[in-house]
Amino acid sequence: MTDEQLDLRAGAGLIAREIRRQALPLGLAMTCAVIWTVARLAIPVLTGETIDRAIDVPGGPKLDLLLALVLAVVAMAAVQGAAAAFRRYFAMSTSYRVETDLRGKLYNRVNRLSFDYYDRTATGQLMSRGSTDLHEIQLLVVLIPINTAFLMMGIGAFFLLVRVHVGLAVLAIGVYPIVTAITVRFFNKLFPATARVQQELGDLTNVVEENIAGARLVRSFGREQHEIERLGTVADQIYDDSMEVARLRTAYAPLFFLLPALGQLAILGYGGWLVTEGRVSIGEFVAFFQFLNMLVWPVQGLGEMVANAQRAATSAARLWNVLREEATVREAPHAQSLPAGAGEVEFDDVWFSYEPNRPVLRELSMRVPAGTAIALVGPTGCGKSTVAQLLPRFYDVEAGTIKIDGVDVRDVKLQELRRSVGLVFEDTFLFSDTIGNNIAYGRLDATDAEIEEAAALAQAAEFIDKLPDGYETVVGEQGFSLSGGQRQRIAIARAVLTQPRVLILDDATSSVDARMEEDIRGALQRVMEGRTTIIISHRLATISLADKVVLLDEGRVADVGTHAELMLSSDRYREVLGQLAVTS
Amino acid sequence: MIDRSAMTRREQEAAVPSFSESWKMLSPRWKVIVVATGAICLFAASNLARPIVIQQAIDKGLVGGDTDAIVVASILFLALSFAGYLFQALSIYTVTWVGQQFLRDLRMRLFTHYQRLSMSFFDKESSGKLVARMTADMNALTDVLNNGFLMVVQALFLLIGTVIILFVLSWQLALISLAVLPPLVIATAIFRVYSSRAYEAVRDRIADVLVQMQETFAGMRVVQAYARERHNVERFGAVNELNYEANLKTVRISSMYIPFIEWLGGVGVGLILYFGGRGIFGAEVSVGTVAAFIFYLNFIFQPIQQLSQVYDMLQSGTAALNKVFGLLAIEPELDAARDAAPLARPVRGALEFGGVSFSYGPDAEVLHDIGIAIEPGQRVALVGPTGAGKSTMAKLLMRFYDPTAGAVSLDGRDLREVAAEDLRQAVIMVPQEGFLFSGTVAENIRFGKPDATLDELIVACEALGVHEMIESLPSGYDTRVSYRGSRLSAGEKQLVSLARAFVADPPVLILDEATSSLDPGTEALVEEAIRRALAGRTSVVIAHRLSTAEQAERVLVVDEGRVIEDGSHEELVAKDGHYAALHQRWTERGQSFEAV
Ligand SMILES: Nc1ncnc2c1ncn2[C@@H]1O[C@H](COP(=O)(O)OP(=O)(O)OP(=O)(O)O)[C@@H](O)[C@H]1O
Ligand SMILES: Nc1ncnc2c1ncn2[C@@H]1O[C@H](COP(=O)(O)OP(=O)(O)OP(=O)(O)O)[C@@H](O)[C@H]1O
Ligand SMILES: [Mg+2]
Repeated sequence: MTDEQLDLRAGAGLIAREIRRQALPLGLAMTCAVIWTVARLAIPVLTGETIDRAIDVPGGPKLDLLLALVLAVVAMAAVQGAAAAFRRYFAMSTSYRVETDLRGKLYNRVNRLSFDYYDRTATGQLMSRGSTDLHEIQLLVVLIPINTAFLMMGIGAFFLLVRVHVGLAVLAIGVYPIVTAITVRFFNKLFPATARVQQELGDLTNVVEENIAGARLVRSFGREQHEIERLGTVADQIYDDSMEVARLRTAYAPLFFLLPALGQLAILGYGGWLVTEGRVSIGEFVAFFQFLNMLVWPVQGLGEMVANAQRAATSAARLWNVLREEATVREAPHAQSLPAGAGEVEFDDVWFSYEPNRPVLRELSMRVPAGTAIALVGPTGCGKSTVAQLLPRFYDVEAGTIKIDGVDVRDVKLQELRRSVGLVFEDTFLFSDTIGNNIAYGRLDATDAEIEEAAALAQAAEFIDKLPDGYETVVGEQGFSLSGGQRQRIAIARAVLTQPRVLILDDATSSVDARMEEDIRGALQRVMEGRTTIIISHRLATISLADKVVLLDEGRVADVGTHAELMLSSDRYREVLGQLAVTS
Repeated sequence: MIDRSAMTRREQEAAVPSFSESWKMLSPRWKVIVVATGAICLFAASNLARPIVIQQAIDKGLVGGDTDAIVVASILFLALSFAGYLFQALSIYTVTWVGQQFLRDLRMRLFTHYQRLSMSFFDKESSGKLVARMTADMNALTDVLNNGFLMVVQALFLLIGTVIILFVLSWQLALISLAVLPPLVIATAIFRVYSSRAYEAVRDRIADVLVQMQETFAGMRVVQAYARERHNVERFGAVNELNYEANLKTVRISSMYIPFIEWLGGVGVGLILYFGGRGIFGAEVSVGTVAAFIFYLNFIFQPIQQLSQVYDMLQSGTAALNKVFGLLAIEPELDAARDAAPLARPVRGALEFGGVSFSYGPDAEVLHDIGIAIEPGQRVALVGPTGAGKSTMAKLLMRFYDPTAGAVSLDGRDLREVAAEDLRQAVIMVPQEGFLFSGTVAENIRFGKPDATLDELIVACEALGVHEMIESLPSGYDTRVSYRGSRLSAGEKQLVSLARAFVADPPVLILDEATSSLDPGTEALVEEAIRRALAGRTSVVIAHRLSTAEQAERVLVVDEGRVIEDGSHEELVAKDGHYAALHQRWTERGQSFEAV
């Protein structure tokens, strides 16, 4: 997870492209920033002028001039405020636009990737791309116009200072390059430490999640103490690294306070002397202080932005790694619609492996005539689920072909292919939504009557009706907890509702008892009528629904025949079904 | 969608003594807290003092032409700057130290609490919420502890100090310039109301975005199987856009507040200049005082804006604290009795349900008055239809729950009086889903016996027939797996779970459909292995396949929360009751099917 290759240049390019698309609002933000700067600089100048010309003059204050200058200050403040508001509005809205657009792209991309990507990517990882990483980028986009304003303000202030007195300006400003350098250094040191804390917080989340999901096991094996120690290790690491961050902040942050103060000291001492010498006026002296205060932010802000830009580039590079990912299973340019047909399925000399050099399927060939049912039987890990996932092209074969109604699945429009293959996975995933919506997942336009009919077919109607809210009961991670058998039946209803051309049931009755299995069996019989079906099961009652049995062993077809034939001819078959003792 | 607001409201209602509880955790470090508070105040004081020094320099040195005054002021200024530096450093370090210690303790306390809570608790709470207590809420607390405390103390000190200094310098000018204070406070308060509301909306919208991302990413396989990508992208587009609009609203609100504040700052400077310049209430105001007032103006604007920022932080911090302590206040329903005593060794493994009734909630009773005794070393099978209560009986044996009436006992001792650790070592249950913790395969198998050698693991895996499969993984036993994504097939995961129980080698083993994904051939192998490896151990097996029952010494038929038949397979078949009928159907189906 952490050994991900990061291409910072690509990350920077991604941000640059997004920013270019927002050139207009960002340009407006910059314009407002300029206006803001002018107004902001004008106020201390006016203050100084007021003191020098209207207050600290021989013969007492000049009231008319004083009032005029004061009103000018107030007017400038109004201009400054308005400009600040527009700058903020354009900068922030642009940054949120960029964040929103990128999040949309991320979501879109993830939706279009293939199963091998999900196999190697944790959900949590994708989630942090869509939250923390996007946040870093958003922050950078906000900082750009704001820091541009600060930078201009800094340069303007410097020129005004120089105009008053070059020596004093140089002396007062002298500390600022140091401040910038220190800021960059500080954030560069800070970043690895904060990144470690982030990483460790992620680890902590993992431990907690796992312990909640696996609470039963932890208790069952009496591992509470060990898990507490495991979390303790992570918590200690978080503490240590947070304190490392604190040490860095302790060492650096006060410098941002001290160094500008030294600049002010230079004004106080040297500037004060210049005033007594009559070379600088008191008003200019006061304005100097205000300018210097204005420089603290820009200089610090600049350093912060440099550091933030680096972080944002890293985040963008991580995001880029997802965005540039291409689906391994892609629709062919000349993809055609699935021709009308009854769903004949053919595997021809298929080879497949998830990982190099570990072939899972080898020269697998089999044919399921349209409208018939076969049972895939075989020992654990022989590749049954893999066969099921190859037909709807969740993975592509390495060699050989898979055809539906005579067409290579790679030549069919992907969505259409998947709509015509209904797969019930062996681990049922339900969305945090109502039971009704879960069943209608594959057919949004299904009417309530159709949903209920599908539920009835899958033998789920009875228990659903008994639930407090019936079809409106919310299930899934945050909802009502259903038993394994109940979940399986909802998944079957979901598949049935889509009226697929080929139906694949991967161990869909493993969690139901014999009586229920018999009921489901009756239902399946109706569902399967005239529909090509592949059943993966170890149970005789379910296998008996199939016209033919394909015995799979170590990724090869070991035998084909009816159940009765195989019972007679194949020892391996009897062994797999646990019937060896019965017949021998 | 889920009604999140209702959930939070309920959580907030539970009045929790979170502050007194927090103080209990903090009080051992009170000395450091005193030092930190002192350091923050002294830092603020050094800040406050500097404009006075400048004012003195202007009035005495510049206007009065006294060079010595400038030198004195410069030295003072330098001293104040260094004092500020030191106190700031000290405050940052001490505040973070206290905060991080508190957080670490709280994390450990909460996690330890999770480990003590009863299973019934996990039935009721969604895991997302429990994880959030440990993540989002802790982050909210980190903000408060790292910055909130510091900012509040500093802002209050600065604000009060400034007002006092201004009055001392010139009460007349203070009165005039503080005229900006009421509009500032009122505007900030109004802004607070609107922006809180807007930010609340943002939190809801971003939660929607994250929930949909999480759900889709976790259920990606189903999404693609049902070709829902396009629809999802559309739906997400809408949710994503709503989040953008909510954010935009906060920007609009602050875009109205900020110009007012900046303008008010200008008005403040204007007031000071005008009235300071022309003199006020007949009093002359010195130039230095005017300058000092202008500098101090910042110390009024900044703290008020900071306090308003901190207010939000404190609110979410308090809410987080309440949620965390609300959770900590929940007592585990199944606390070991005070006189819990160790089990006599060796554990024999005699189990007994003595008139046990049980219900999960206040509503329906699931088990009714069950009375059975299982001899040490007996191999028992529980059979019966879905929802009969088989798993519930297993959970009671594990003491995941306590019976509502009657008692479950091990070796004649009520489970409620057995030390939890002893019980865990004596009874192990393998559930249906082959759950893998993130780590290596070896670590997963060692779960119940951390000091098991690799040879022990291999022996267990060979007995179960998974050794070869594990060896063929990219790094064999050291291959990393995780609880969501894994490179094992469903059956292989179950075998690894079984190997885990094998290595732990408990006196009592409970298998709750632990072999449901296995082919009967492998299942028979597993059963044979269990028989050999666990000879003399008590085992309770729940399985839907009756072949398992045939292998057991004793079969208990459970139906609607009662044990309706009890005896060996042969006895029950001969008895011609419920089981016999079940078995009849089961074998007939196999045979009639074979005859086809
Ligand atoms: N995503 C994956 N990455 C790597 N290897 C995998 C992956 N999924 C499965 N395998 C491996 O491929 C082989 C076949 O797995 P498959 O899930 O097809 O078996 P199966 O016949 O369905 O088994 P079961 O009856 O236990 O469900 C197994 O050895 C498994 O370890
Ligand atoms: N955590 C729970 N909260 C509330 N009710 C529950 C809970 N777990 C189970 N039940 C209910 O208790 C009854 C018995 O459930 P149990 O899981 O013991 O049945 P079972 O015989 O093991 O069924 P199966 O063969 O499907 O596993 C069922 O009606 C079930 O709905
Ligand atoms: Mg499988």
